[in-house]
Amino acid sequence: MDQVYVRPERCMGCRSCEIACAVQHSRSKTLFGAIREEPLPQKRIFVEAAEKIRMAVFCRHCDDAPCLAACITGCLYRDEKGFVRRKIERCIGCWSCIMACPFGVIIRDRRKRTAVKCDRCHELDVPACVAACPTRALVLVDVDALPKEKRRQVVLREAEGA
Amino acid sequence: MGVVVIGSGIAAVAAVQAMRANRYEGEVTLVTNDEPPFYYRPMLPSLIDGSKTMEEILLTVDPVADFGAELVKGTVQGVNCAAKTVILSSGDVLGYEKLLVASGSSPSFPQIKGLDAEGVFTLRTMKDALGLCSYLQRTDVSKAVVIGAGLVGVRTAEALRRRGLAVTLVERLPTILYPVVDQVGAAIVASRLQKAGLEVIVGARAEQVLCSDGKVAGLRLASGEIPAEVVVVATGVRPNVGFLEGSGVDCRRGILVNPYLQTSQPDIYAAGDVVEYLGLLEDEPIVSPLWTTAVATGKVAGTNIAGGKMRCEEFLPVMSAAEIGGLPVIAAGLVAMEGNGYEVFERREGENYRKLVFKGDTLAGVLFVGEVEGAGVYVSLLKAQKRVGGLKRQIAARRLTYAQLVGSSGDD
Ligand SMILES: Cc1cc2nc3c(=O)[nH]c(=O)nc-3n(C[C@H](O)[C@H](O)[C@H](O)COP(=O)(O)OP(=O)(O)OC[C@H]3O[C@@H](n4cnc5c(N)ncnc54)[C@H](O)[C@@H]3O)c2cc1C
Repeated sequence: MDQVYVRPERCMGCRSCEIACAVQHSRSKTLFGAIREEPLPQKRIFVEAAEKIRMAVFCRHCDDAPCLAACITGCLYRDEKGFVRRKIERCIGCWSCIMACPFGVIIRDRRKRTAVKCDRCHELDVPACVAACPTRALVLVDVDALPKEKRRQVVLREAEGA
Repeated sequence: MGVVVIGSGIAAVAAVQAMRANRYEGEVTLVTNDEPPFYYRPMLPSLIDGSKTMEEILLTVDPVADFGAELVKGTVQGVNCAAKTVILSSGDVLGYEKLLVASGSSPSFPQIKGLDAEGVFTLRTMKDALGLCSYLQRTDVSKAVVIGAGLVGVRTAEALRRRGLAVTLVERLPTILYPVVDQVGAAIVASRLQKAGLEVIVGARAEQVLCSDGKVAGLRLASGEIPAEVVVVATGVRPNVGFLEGSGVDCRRGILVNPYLQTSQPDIYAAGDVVEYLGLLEDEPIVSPLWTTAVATGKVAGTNIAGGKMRCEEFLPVMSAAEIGGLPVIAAGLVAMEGNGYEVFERREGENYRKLVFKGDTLAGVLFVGEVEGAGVYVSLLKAQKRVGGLKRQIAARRLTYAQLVGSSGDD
């Protein structure tokens, strides 16, 4: 499966990923259309800055996804590609997924009272955030193709924020 | 033979899923007295206000079709550990190699008179919900009383109100939703409920369900009488362990288990609401009647039944999310705890309220009312009992982000 990884040392905090994400999840799917939409489309990726680090934080479509286990309505499910997605008509806005997500990347659609999360742009080959990143801080990695040791390093590097 | 599972709730389903994921290919038989067997129990209030139909809250996985489980309808009356059999009330006997008890819990009732009147309901099963709905369709029902202002009571009261009934919510404790929210949070939420037209009475003990002609006529409190045609009792739940009496499976309040969710009988496992297990924040074993706990324990038990060796995470008494009176609420751990070596950070702006309870260097309680985004970062810190040391003030002062955790790892 292709996974999105972040290389924090390359992130300039330009928020191109956030904009691309919101546009991709807008009705018009263009920047000029999106900014005029009412309500504004919501992003599902968040550039966060802390003292020693700046990075985009986003859904990992975890193997053992806590949001999926917490969903009490059958809204969240894992699709055939392995992405954790929503059957939006089932969401009642109980926010159990927000409680469960350790990355804090599930948010509310306040108008519809439903949970909003990354769908990995399942209809695109390359997710909008990755395509938009000018410094390749966000990269798409086929984790299955990586040798185990390399995979471990990628994960470790990310966890250490190095 | 093979594996027998008592129950068809989410713990049972998660267990069967885990057995198959761990390549157990033998027989699995689920015994249940729930009809229909598989549905989203927390969605039952949506039937009361009509926002969902029964079909819409059926489980999206089907253990029979998806995992080749067999379904037996019936009530388990006893377990014979020596013969390794389960005895049904029909007299039928099922042999097992391994048994999983996932029998969940049932409503517990206050010791008051009149509970046998027509018009007294609980909300635990689909049958309960459908029974209540059909009773409400009778034209002479316009006023309801809900006893117990826990999450189930509050959500049921709201659903009844949305359906157009006049609803009074009666709580014995001085605040609603204890111990999911503290006093401040309870006041914020209660005022929302009142705005939605609910009458909320706290610090009041229900004394008797009043009847006329065998039907509910109201509820008597020490302070007076509330007229009503329907009473819903929502005063908590108790694990379903009655059928294990004398079996040799050790129980206290729930079934006692080791970290692999084995009971005192090595071939018998337990999962879900029925389990009593080590608390993360307490020195005592506790029950944790929550969806997330049922899913997690089901997975552990199923994995181990299939030959794996997975440890169960310690239990939390509170781990809840809900929207109440239109206001999101997320709570975990010991939220209402004060004093006694706990350090509390609170922040309130209007209806937005956030409270963090620390014990030493670790989080012991998290409560978000209103703006709940990002609450999961805190909840995961609490669950991991991660020492936050130098980060404590920062965490309390502003919104903790995942990047902050990554940025600070290795230097606390
Ligand atoms: C209205 C409502 C709202 C809720 N909302 C939330 C929420 O928002 N978040 C949350 O975390 N939790 C919530 N809960 C709690 C949650 O639903 C339970 O913790 C969870 O469903 C427990 O699953 P379980 O499989 O352990 O038990 P159960 O779902 O109770 O399943 C037990 C099964 O065993 C069967 N059984 C029991 N005894 C026998 C017997 N002797 N013979 C045969 N079969 C038997 C029962 O019929 C049942 O099918 C809610 C509960 C209710 C009632």
